[in-house]
Amino acid sequence: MIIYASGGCLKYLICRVFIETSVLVACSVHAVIDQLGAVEDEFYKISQPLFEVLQKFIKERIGITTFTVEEEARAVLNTVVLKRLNERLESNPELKQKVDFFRAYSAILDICSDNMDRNCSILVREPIPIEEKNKLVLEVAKMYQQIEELDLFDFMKTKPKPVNRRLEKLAKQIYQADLEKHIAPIIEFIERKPPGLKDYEILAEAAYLASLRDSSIPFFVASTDQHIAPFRKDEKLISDRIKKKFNMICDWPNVIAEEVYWLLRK
Amino acid sequence: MSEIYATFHKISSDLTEMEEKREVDLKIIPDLRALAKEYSQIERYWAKQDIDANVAFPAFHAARNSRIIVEKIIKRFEEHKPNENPKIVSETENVIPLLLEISSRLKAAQEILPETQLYLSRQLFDTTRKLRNTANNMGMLPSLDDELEDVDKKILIEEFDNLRKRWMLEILDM
Repeated sequence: MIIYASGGCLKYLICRVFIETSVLVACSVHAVIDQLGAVEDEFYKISQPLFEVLQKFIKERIGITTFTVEEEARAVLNTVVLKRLNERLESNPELKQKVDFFRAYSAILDICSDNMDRNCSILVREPIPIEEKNKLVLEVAKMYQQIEELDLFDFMKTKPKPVNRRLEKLAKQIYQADLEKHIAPIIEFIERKPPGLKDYEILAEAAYLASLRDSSIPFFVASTDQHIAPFRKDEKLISDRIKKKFNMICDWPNVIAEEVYWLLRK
Repeated sequence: MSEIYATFHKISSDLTEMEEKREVDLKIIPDLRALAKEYSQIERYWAKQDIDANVAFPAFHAARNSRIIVEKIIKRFEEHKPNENPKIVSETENVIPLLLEISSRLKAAQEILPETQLYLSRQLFDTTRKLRNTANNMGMLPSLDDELEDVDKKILIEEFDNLRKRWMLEILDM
């Protein structure tokens, strides 16, 4: 069991929550501006409850992240601002507009970067040994490769046999329709949008940190990325594989927020 | 741009003198105003020139942040009462090196024009962040309302909305 020092006392860890890039970004791109009201969206509403729990129980040091996640999140903020600004300037080349856009984008970038710094300040940034990470990157890549190569016919072979042989044909049809509805979109998504090297690295870092704790301590990975979190919020093909291979519970931040809250209230 | 270094030199001398005397001297204010004006001109330069936005925007962003932080420093000096603790002097001294670093990076970016180097953009973004964090710790960061004073609110809201969607699309690779 991992023991950590907190305010001069030794405490036992109740759980750990790894904050992945998508959640850090979602929770940072919002603003409350006088006269304009709140600017926020669905991803913010999903992510914010988790940060509220982490803030409330900050002394427990539950929320963790890594340098890679923080760097990727900051790079996304800057890169998207530049991309969008370039597009805007192409369609609005007038001088007055350009200065106005520069000012607005500068203010937005400041607001969101300040939010991100505040969010990072309630997380523990964990160091990751590069050799261990590289080994795990290969394992993560292999896992996604296996998901991509999943064959629906293989799933069919594993289907439970109906007791009544007369119902076998009907059962097969129902099972196949069910697979096509639930599993096929995930495989298609992975084929269409395969995870990138950064995704492998971040999951490998989470897996390394998960390997350090006693297996009885729940280790959550909070994500809104469907390469990690349950697909369309409840299809757990990928998150189940991650759980089986790396003993980490990947889920949406609002779901983890509730679980963590109850664990801490016990 | 060369004038900015002379202004920094004067501000630095003013601060050293105040540190030695352990009292605040408001003669620093005109020098700080001159510095804010320099940043304002740099902002206009990067926004007016027909330069690749990948370099022009980080430069503008760095100059704008430098200006609003210097304006906040001026405000703090103006509001300083004679019998108050002169900690504003050391707080300003903590911010000045980063303002100077940004000025050097802006100069470097300007000198290589029309060529542009993306590493300079990244450095400008990083140093601007360091400046804001230090200014925040020193109580030298303006309020959000003050920061948004010269911003067109209609553009701000429209673009914020667009950017939020784009940020999530980018990160979720959708």
